[in-house]
Amino acid sequence: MTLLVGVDIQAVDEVELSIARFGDKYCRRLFTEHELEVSSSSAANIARSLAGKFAAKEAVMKLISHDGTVSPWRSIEIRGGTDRTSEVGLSGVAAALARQRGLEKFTLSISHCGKFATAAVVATTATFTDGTAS
Amino acid sequence: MTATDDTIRAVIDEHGRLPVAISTLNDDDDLYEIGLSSHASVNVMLGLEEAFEIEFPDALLRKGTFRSVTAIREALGSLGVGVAELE
Repeated sequence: MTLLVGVDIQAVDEVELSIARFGDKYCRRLFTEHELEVSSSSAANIARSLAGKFAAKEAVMKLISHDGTVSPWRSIEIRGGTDRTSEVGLSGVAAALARQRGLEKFTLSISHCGKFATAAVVATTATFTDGTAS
Repeated sequence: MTATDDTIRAVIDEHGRLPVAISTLNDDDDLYEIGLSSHASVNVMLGLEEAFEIEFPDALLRKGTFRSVTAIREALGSLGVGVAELE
């Protein structure tokens, strides 16, 4: 089995500015209904929460993207209301890209510190490094 | 330079958060190498959609679409933006 790791970091104030500038269009282009629902429980923390989810989506994107093909952000859903219990759900293009790369299980961790949110994703492949099936 | 190019450059300048002014860059310069982040590219995309009253389809949501002024011009051209200027 092979482990792959993707990490990303996102400035919270950039998300805050984007929400202020593009509003609903920004939110609905990047995030699913579920993500917006669990992030809007506290208006003060919505940018902080969405910054963590964006970092998580980008971390996943680094693992599944290849040949310049990336998936729409909404096809990577960060499920769960807290950073400790968040999980990755894939659909559409993201699910197809993950299948092509043989990626099966994703484990996610999101962390916040001051002005930044960071995410780390570990994925396991369906085959051992010697090419045999797991 | 066309009106479409001017608008593309204005949007990159406003939303790209690049460390240099867009006026110092050539059309083919790689914006990611210069400092365009994934999140900033989202803002550039939304700014372009607003400026040209279009919506990028999922098929164009590739990193390469926003790699340079030239790449953006070509993507917009595939959506019918700026085509008349070239005819």
